[in-house]
Amino acid sequence: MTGRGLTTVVIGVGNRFRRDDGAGPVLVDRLNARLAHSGCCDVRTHELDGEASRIIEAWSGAALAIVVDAARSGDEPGTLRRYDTDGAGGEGLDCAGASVAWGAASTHGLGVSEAVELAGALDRLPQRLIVYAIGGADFSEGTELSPPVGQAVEEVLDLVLVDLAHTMKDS
Amino acid sequence: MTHRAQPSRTLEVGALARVEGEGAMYVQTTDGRVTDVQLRIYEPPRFFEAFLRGRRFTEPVDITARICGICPVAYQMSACRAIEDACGVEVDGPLRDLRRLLYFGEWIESHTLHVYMLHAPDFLGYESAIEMAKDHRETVEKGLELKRIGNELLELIGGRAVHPINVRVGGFYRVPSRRELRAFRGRMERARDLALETIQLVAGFDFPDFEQDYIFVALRHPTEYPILDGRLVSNRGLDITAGEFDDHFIEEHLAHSTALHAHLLDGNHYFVGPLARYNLNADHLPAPVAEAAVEAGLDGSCNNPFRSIIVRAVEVLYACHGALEVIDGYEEPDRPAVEVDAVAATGHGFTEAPRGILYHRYSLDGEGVITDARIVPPTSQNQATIEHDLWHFVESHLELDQDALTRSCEQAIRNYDPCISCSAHFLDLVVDHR
Repeated sequence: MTGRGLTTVVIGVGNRFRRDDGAGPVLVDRLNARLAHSGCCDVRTHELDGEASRIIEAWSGAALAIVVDAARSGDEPGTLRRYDTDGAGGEGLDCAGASVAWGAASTHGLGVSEAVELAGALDRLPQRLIVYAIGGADFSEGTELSPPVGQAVEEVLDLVLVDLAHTMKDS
Repeated sequence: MTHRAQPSRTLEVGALARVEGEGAMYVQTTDGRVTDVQLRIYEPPRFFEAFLRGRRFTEPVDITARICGICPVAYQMSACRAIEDACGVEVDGPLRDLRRLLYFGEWIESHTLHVYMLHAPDFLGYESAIEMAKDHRETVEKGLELKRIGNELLELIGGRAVHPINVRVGGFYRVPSRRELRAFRGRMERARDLALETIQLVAGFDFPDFEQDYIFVALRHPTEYPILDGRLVSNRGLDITAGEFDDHFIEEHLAHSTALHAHLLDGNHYFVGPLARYNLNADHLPAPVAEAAVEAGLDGSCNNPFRSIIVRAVEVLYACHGALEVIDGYEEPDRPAVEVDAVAATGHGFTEAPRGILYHRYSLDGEGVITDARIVPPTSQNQATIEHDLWHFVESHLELDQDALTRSCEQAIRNYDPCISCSAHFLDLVVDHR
């Protein structure tokens, strides 16, 4: 547990059968393996399809929520963007303007950015929210990530582990 | 603001908001008449039918569930029905009840998402549910709570809310105990109360004056409001089994859509989904649900697609009542699934997905390998009717200014809760090498 009984949640968003859209779920697989190896059990992980209300439910009551999602950002494939409500280690996250920040980049109709904005309007945000958006290249049928996205997932895994370590240290 | 009709106008929305998947709208008018309407579906085709060939007969249940994150149970149930039909198996008793219970969870979740998050903003004058939540926080909170209970029901029976993993041909891998279902009763009672409030909320919306003479097509069961089984009927005398579907309906490819357009063999377009179900089955709603429908202004028939939001809310209440009925009468079955042995045959199945009938057909060889598959989702069946609605709505509302008319057209599309991700598919891929 983190802080006064609140949890830490990592949410991988996407469809693992649509190639690069599976970046979030693959990250969750990789993280679960690392957490099992380390014996750490204070982190809840979720694989979600990106529907906004499910995301809000998943981070309900969390001290820290980390969301990882593939994005059609127009960036080079594998480009990583990090948003943090604490403004640390990347771009700040203005929850009221999340859809403006990266809404067009999301691969889901009413998805992550809308979840952030809606949760903001309903006071249902976690205490701290970090979003990793990975620029995708190929969203066709299949289970293989494109090489740049696969590499970006490994980078995100390291960053998430650092985020988690800092949180454990601070609590 | 209104102004005089212009001689030539183009209404175009490049990326429709608040629909599942990716689509666009194009309407052209010339000299005060509509000359072209296209609901453009440009999401890449999925080729599910092609890669089901060569798979085992036990696999479509899980593979086709991946077609949609909103209505996976519909795909699982139609796949089960079709394959069991091929193999000569009928699943009934508590296993059929559990299938209905799982399906009720999906109706609650899917309909509630559409009513609150996708469609209500149109009626309350907001660009999105987020904007709406700032002024109607309690309403949105209730919608999220109702949807969450639908999710919980899916998790209870299906193992998880997205792409349930507990369904197989013949039944389930594990069935819940009577105690587990009874423990969920309080949640369903809460859902029933929220559903009733939802009906009261949407019944108070203002609805455009727009009625059409539709051909409604839906399942009809001898005693129940349909969800899992029944004959396919219409208000024009159609009355067929799943095995006769291909004799009455055709799909064709149009250049502006990766979703096939479905028609009756005589060329007429038709309407599937909540409005069709209600018009053909209102007499089978349980008394408390029927009374709530009447209080909401429905009298057993409804030809205004904008009022489909009321029917959707009524169906959520029905799903809650149905779920409570199953919970109260549940006796744990002796085994979680009926044995199903592969037979070299073709089977057909249709069930009522939240958006309308979902038809599956599978041909199997004697080893249980799929040699042919066909899937006809609801949105491809409604596509022609949506375009027909746009055509007539625009012609009768040309006095609206550009923004208002465009918004109304988007709302008219959302009347159908189109699931574009489900509908985008081709039957055949032809590559011409020269």
